[in-house]
Amino acid sequence: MFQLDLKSRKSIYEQIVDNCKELIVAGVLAPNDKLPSVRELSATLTVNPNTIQKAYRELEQTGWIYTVSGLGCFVSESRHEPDPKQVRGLLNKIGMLVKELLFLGLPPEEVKQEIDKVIQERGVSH
Amino acid sequence: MKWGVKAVKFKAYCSNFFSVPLAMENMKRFWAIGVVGLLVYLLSGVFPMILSYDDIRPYMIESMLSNHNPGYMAAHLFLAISAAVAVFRYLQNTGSTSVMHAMPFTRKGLYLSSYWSGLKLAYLPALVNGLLLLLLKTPVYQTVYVDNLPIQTNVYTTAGVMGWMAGVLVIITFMYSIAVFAGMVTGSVVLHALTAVGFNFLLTALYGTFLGYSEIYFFGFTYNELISEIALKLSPYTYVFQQEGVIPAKAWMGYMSVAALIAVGTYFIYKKRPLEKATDSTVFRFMEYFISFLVVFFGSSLIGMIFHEYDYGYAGYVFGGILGFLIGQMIVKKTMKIFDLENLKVFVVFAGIMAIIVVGFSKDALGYERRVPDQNSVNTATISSYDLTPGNMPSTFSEKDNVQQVLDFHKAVVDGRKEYRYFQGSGFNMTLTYEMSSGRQMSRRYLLPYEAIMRSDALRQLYESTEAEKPAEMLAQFHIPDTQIALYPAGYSSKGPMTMHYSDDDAANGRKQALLEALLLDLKGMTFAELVSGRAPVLQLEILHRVKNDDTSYSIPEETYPYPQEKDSGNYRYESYSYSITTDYTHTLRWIDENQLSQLLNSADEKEFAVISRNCAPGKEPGPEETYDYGKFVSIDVKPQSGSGKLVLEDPQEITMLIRSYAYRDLRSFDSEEEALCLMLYRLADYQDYDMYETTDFYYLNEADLPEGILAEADRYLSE
Amino acid sequence: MIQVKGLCKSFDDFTALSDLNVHVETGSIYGLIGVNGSGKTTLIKHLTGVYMPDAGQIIYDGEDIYENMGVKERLGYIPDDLYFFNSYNLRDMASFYRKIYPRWNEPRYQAMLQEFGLSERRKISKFSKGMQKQAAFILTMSTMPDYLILDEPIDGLDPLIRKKVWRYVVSDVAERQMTVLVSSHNLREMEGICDYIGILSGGRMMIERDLEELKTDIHKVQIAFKDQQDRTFAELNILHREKRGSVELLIVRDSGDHVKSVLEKEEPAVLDMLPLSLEEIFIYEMGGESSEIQSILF
Repeated sequence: MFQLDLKSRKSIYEQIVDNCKELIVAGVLAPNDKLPSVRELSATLTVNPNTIQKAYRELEQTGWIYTVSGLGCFVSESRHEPDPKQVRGLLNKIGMLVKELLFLGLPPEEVKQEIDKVIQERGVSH
Repeated sequence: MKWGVKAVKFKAYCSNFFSVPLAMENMKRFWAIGVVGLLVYLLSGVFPMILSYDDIRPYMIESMLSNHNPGYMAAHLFLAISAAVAVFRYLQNTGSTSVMHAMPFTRKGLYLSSYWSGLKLAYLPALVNGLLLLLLKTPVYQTVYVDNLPIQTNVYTTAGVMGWMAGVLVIITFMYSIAVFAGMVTGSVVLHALTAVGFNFLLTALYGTFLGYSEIYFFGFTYNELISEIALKLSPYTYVFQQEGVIPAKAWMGYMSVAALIAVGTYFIYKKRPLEKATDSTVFRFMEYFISFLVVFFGSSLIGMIFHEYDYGYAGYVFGGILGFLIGQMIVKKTMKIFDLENLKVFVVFAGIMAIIVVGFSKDALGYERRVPDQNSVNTATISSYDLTPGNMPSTFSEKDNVQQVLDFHKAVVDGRKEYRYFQGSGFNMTLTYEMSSGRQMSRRYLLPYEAIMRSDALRQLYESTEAEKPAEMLAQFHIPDTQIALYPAGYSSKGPMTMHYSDDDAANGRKQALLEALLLDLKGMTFAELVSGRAPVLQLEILHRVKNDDTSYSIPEETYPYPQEKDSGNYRYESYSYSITTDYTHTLRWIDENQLSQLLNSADEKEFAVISRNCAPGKEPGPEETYDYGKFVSIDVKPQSGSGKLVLEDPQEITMLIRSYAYRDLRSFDSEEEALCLMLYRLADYQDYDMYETTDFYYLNEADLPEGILAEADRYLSE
Repeated sequence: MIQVKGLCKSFDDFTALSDLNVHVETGSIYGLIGVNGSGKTTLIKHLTGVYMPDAGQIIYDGEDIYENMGVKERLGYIPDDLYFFNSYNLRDMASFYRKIYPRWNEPRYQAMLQEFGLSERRKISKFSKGMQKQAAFILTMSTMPDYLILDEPIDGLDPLIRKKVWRYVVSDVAERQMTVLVSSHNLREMEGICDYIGILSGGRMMIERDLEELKTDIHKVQIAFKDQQDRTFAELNILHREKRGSVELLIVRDSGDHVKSVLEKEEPAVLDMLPLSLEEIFIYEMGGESSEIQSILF
């Protein structure tokens, strides 16, 4: 499903969480799609199942997925209430990237245009 | 249902004690040891037997079944030691010890399974060999004499083979148990193997070493039967070196019990064994010290005793002890770095112990030498000395006064030990044996100079007592038809022995009877002084007497237990007594005369001349005519003349009188060598084309006591 | 669950383990790390019921392991020093294991043989060291252990085989809640597999934590200010501090939020927070001050 980067500074647990989120955000995993079971995923990635368990729990707690006992984990319907902490973090990241672009010499207008492009591509609700 | 569950639970419970898979696996892994052992048994016993199957020699069967067969003995040792080392090898390596103990076994299970499979491995070859022997059983007869008739007894019997198998079982079990114990207290395979063998012979070696010390330092020490018996009975392995080679039931049970005890004890040691010590030399501190001390003990003793032979005093013990300590420490600590303070302390302690032992022996700390028993605790006292008692029969005394005389004499010897201890010259070898009221036996053996005996008042009284006549009285009780008497000339003579054989002829027996009676009278009437005079005999008399064995079970069943009793395979016990007859034996000499046997008496017959001189060691200064020198016996070309310190006698009567009535065979009656004159007899020896004279006999004469005629001539010639 | 309580062990005059406590949750993979001579192997020999403790207990789900056949039947142990019966091949060893481990799984054994491609008839002594490790692994895993203790398991194995090995381990953990304790120096690999870490030093447990928590509690901070002022960040637990030019490196043991809030107050020009790898955590916890270790890191 996705590759882990063992060299990365990011812990495996984080990578799993982030990768799942990416797949959901990109639309590869649609709402109510079933995620691979802990066993399957741990065997495929050769990763500690507890780590995967933890990642799934985190995703569940932040509303990205829901569990049905006996059946497994499924992708949630889209969220309407963004998590402020997450939003703050991502906005910070955008802020830093924008600053960098400006530093490189890109005109502010062009930066704004690029951002609009991305928003239009994704659509408003997904 | 319930039974099924119970059975499973029981099985699981049992596997706490014993693991069948492990035991089987051990057999699978180490079968080679068993095969090698079996091969040795077969090559030493069955194969040679098969090769000569049509005509098997009885000694072959006997040596097999009594283990007097080096191949068998080697195999027993090899099997017991190798099996123990192989089966417990897993303890001697960190990797294997971890894996084995992490597996689902308890130490109990590991121990029992390993012990059992090792024991099976060690004994199975003997079992197979035994069964093979039973299969191949065929009668092999040995001739045995019962009532003078030869009887064939089968030595290859079922009982014999079963007895062998039982004997080997106890030997192997005993040695194996000790070998397993050795493995439990050592940490490396090499040391396990060494101690497995060493501990098996430890007691014997210790006992032997202490006997060695006793021999060296204890004035009067001698081996008696009990001492040798103990030495061999310390282990069933050495037990079979005894003549019989068979282990009786009681001893068998004894050894097995000891083996079982050792096995149980080893289990408890296993429980306590710190497994982290694998590959160290020893596993327990105590063992380290113990083995280290043993090396010191044996090294010091061995080298010390050797040096002692060469008069280096205690130097050998010190040297051997230091060497032993260094080597022992290196072995036990597995490093060359043993020179530290801690080890110095240990060395001092060991040195102290060795010093106590050695000095204890050399200074007779326990009073062995000084010990003369108390009259009240002695039942009988026996003196046995080759030259002292006629016929070489020991004299046993049980009357209180006589026993006291023996003790007095003994005390005198003990008091004079400073002087007697190093005495090497010619004298009396004397053994004193006491049967104590406690049932034990005490013996001492001394080499004493002649004066010690001849001047002993105690001995004189003893030998003139009536009890001293007992050995002689035995002569009167001989069954004459079972008695053989041979008469030899004393001194050089070509007249052969005259033998009166075993016979049923009344006349012949009558003569023998008369001779014995005469001898008896002489012996009874002999004074102590005459007994110890050292006068040259005129005749040698030898009595050979045979007695039927009452206590053997040589009746006539088909198969008898194949181990013969005494010297011959007959039903008789033989005893021989020899007497040196001097002119003091008047009655005996009269019998000789009456029976026309005087030619047997020592005389000048066949001798050419005799030479009397002061020079009693002609070998020291050979004269011009003397060409050969064998100490006292010389050969010369020319008949000498009287003069220059020599008196030559040619009159046969004169010579005969001298040798019968004035001659002595050693210097015991003289105060010094200078006092004695020497009498040498010569015969004509014809060699091819030239003549030579050779000495035939050598005697001492007392200058103060010569017959008239000779005395004058002696004065004349000998002073020159 | 494996619990070690108050374990003490001395050899002659040397104290190897001193009041050691270890806790391994059921179904977790516990990584035991420590410098050479810290007592890892000694601990493992106690865990496998080989050594007798001087004091303390080793308990597997309520049962002490020493002399306990019931627990040992469910324990799989692969030592650093492998041991096989002399001249045996895999088939012989398997038939022995089959008899003493009641849960022996023959189909799995056969499957693993196939997968690892080892010859059943060849003497194990003739295998290379790596193949011997594989053989040990196959035999051990085929006993379907509830507890698995591995001492330097992946030494000498190529990456493909390593992957296979871990896959089996991880599947059994997922499938059967197998409890695993691994001792290794390969911290990178451990990082990817373990969920708990125990750091042993001088016979004592220095740190025993969930790996994630361990990582979230320690951060590498690169920080730079416009001015050259010396600042002490008193509210922070700083393990290591180093100035390189105008950028300062801090190793801080605190929660990420706390660190951020404290540092952002100072309005730094540059503030980067990075997680540490397990290797780095180990090095810092064990002896970060020495210069050789510094040069390793950067």
